[in-house]
Amino acid sequence: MTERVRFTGGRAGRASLAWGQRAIWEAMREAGPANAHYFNIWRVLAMPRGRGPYTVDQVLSAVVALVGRHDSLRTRISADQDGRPFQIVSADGWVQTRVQAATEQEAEKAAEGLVLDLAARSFDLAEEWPLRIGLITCDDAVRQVGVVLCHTSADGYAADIVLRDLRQLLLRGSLTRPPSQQLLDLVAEQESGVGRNRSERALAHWEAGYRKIPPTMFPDLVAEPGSPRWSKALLESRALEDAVTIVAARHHMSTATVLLTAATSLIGTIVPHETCAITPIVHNRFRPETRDLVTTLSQLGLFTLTTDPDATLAETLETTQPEAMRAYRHAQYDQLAWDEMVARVSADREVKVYPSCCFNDLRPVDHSGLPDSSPGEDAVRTSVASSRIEWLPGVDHFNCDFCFFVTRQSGILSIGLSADTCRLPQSRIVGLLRAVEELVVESAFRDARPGELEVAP
Amino acid sequence: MQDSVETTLPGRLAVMVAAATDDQISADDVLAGEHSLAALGVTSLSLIRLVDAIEDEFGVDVDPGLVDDFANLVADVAGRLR
Repeated sequence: MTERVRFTGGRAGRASLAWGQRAIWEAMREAGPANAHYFNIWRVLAMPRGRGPYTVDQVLSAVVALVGRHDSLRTRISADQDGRPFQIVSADGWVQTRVQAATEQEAEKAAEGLVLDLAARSFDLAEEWPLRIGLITCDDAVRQVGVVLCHTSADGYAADIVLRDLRQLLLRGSLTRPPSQQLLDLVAEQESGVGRNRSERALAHWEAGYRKIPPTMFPDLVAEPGSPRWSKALLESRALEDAVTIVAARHHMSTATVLLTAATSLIGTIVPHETCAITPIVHNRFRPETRDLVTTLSQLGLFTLTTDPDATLAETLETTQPEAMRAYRHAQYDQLAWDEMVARVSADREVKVYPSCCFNDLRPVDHSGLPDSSPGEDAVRTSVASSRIEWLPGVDHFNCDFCFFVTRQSGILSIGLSADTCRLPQSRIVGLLRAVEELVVESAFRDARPGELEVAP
Repeated sequence: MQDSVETTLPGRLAVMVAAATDDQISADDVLAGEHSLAALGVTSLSLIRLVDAIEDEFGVDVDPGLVDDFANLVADVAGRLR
């Protein structure tokens, strides 16, 4: 069953795309309508306990307030006659919601199925609003809300804001404090002198790196394609979670930077380059005004490392922290100017420069401190035995040879790798994940070097 | 004017460090200068926030890879303001 509800009263306007939106828009355009659903973002919200029950109308009222609150959720994107994208934020429109009944026992599973179904097709950017809502009801009371967002309107962090606001609207009926910033204001800031200066500084960092890094990180085709060609494995590891927390605390850095450095160090043992380049996807949620901003702010940063297989991870972490900070800092830039920079450098070097090697920390932004205590060495080492590899659905076509990601699964830290099996066969994908785990676990308790570990061929 | 900047700058920057950490670290601890900012508990997230705040406040761009030592940070910002 489909419900349709009108939203009205938000502000309206027309603008260029923000930098992060432009990057995703381009990626989705290249993927085409048949594949762009790969970029969709979804979340499921269980109804707040101790309140309710909530009727469908009550939830729809909260959705209307949510859409009215954020410019990004009332935005559609078109291209002008020269192919340049622009977006129109509308003051009013209609939100369609799919409503599906289920039993109490099946509600959670039904919500997962509904949200995956809603996420399984690409958004029509010009015609469709960038969010889809699905409700699971039990005896006419809403139990679960599925939210699917188009990546041009939200990144993972923004999706969490959307869910948080929806929950608050259900609990309180309204939100008194406006968002810290809105999409149209962000675009204006990026187009101002301040924004242009910020972009130019970031691109200077990128250009200096692009003039010296290997054109691509995995140049050699070493195997027949696996099935699927881009295979994706996940390593769920309590031991890694404990160990990376210990190492990060010891070096006063984030667990993301430790994992980024460990992964890059190990890449250095399997590629024919001394300098490794990897592009972390940076959330860009550093300024206070970005805290409640719903849009796609994340963009690629550039992290380079001159690898030394005989250096301990501890030594490498100490020397690379400044470079990691520069990578995080310089991940906000005009995407078109970045494209021009890449074309210019590639022309000068007479080779296309594209590392095709990225790192994506999908965990929510961690504002908290480190825990006060951690398990001892014996407990961490013992728990390595319970780490497990899982294969996830892959694809036969993709535009990046090596995508390393960090997430949480079943409440446990997990690292994953989606890679072109012609360059990294499935055995090597698993070998690299296991090697990252071993390097970090060993480094929590002794000096460990990437060169001591053997990554399966 | 230059003296004024140099005498007040450490205090202003210490307050900005504290703000970047949501006041989990005090400006007094920063000014004491006994530890690096990371050792005081300033995370990479906070360091980038600090660099952004310095840009907004003073209009200067400091290298985020080199801000960990507070004395160096003060000297760097002072140098760029001259």
